[in-house]
Amino acid sequence: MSQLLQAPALWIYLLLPSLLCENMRCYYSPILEKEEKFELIVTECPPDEMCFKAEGHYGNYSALSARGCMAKKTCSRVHEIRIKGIVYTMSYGCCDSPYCNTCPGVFVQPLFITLTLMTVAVMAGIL
Amino acid sequence: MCTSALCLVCVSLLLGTSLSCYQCFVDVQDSSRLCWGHILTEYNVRNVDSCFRKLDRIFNNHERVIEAGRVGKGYDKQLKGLLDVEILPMVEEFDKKLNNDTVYEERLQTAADNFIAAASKLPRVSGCLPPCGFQSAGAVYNCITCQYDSCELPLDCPVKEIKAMENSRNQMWCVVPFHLPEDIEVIWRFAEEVKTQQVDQFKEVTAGLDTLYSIPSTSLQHVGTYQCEIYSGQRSIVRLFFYLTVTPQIVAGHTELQEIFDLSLLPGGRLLPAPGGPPRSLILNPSPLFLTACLTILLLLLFLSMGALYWSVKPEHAEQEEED
Repeated sequence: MSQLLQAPALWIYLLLPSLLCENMRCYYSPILEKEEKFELIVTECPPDEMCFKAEGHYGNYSALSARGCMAKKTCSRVHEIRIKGIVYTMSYGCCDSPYCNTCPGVFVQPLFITLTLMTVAVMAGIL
Repeated sequence: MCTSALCLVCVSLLLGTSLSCYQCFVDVQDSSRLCWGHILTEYNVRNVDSCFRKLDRIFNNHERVIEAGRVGKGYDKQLKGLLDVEILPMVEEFDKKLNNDTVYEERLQTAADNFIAAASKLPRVSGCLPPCGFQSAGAVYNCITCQYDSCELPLDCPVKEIKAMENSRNQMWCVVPFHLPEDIEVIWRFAEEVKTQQVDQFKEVTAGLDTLYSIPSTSLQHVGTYQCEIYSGQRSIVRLFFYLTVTPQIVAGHTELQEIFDLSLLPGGRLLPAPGGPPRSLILNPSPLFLTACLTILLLLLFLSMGALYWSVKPEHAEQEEED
C-alpha cells in the first residue's frame, strides 16, 4: 500500500514547482573543459527561460560543457566561441522541466523517469 | 523580432566570451561561491548565469583589464596576488548570502578598477633574447590565453661559419642564451659539403643529451653544415647551424712559405716583429728622411774631399811645368 502512495508523491514532488508557476530551477556550470571538476549549483531562471546543456567541440572532439538557463528561441543555435585563444563550436540542448539538465549525455524527459518509477512502484505493490 | 535579436545578443554575451585575467587566476569554485546569492532584481530570482555574465563583462572581456595584465616575465604571480586581494574577501563576504545585482555590479566594478590601477604599475619588460628559438616564457603575459606570449622568433638560428685547419681539433657547442627546460634532447645532424638550412639535406648523426660536438682530427670530409636541434618532449625549441670549412695542410704550408717570402723582401731582409711585441726605438728604426740627410751629407763630404785633393795636387803640376 505504501508503495502505491509513493508514486503520486513522486509526481507531485517533481511537477509541483512547475504546477505552482514558479520560475524554473536548473543546474548551473560555467563553460569549462570537460576534465575540470565543478560542483553543480542551482540557478533560478527568469521567466521565458529554460534549462540548457551545452557542448563545445574542437573538431570532432567534445571538449567543453556548460549548463544553465537560456531563452527558448536560442536553444537551437550553433556558434563559435574563443576560450584561451582556441575556437570551439558550441551547440545547445534545452529541456523544460526543473533540474532537467543534470545528467551528462542525452536528455531524459523526467516524465519518462516518473512513469518508469511509477510502473515499478505499482508492480512492486501488486507483488 | 526585436526581442529575439536582443536574446541573441544576450546569449552571445553569455557564451561568446573570450575569458581573460579573471579566469586565469580565480578558481572557478570561488566564482561559484561568489555568484551563489546573485539576485536578479527585475524578476526577483536567484540567477547565477547573469552573475557569471557580469564577471565576464567587468573582468574578462574588459580591454583595460587585459591591457593591465600585460606584465613582464615572472610578474604573473603578482597579478594573481592583486586579483586575490580584490576577489577573495568578496567571496567570503557574499558566501551563502543573497545580494542584489546592483550591489554586485558596484563591488565588482570597484574591484576591477583597483586591479587595473595596481597591475598597470607592474614592469612590462620583455624577456625575449633574439635572434632565434622558441622562448615560451619570453614576452609579456596574455590574459586571453593565460600564458606568456611567445617571442615570435624563428626556430632557425643564422648559420655560424667556422674555419678549421686540417688535422686540428674542432668543437661545436649547442648552447643558447635563454633558459631551457630540464627534459631536453639534442639531435646533431650533418649536411655534407654544402652550406644549407634546408631540413631535408641533413642526416642524423647523434641523439642524446650531449650539447658538444667534437671532431678530434678535422679532415676534408668534415666540410659541410652541422645542425643541432634541441627538443623538449616532442617539441622543437631551437635549431643551430654551423658551417665548417677546412683548410688543407698543403695549402697551409704554401701560405706559410709565401708569408716568409713576402717578409724577406723587406729592406735588410729583416722579419717583421711579432704583433704585440715591444715598439722599436727611434735609433733602430730611422726614418727615410733621416737616411736621405745622412746620405746627402756623406756625398757632400766626398765631393769636398775630392775637390780638396784636386786643388792640393794641381799647383804642384803647375810648378813642375814652370821648372821645365
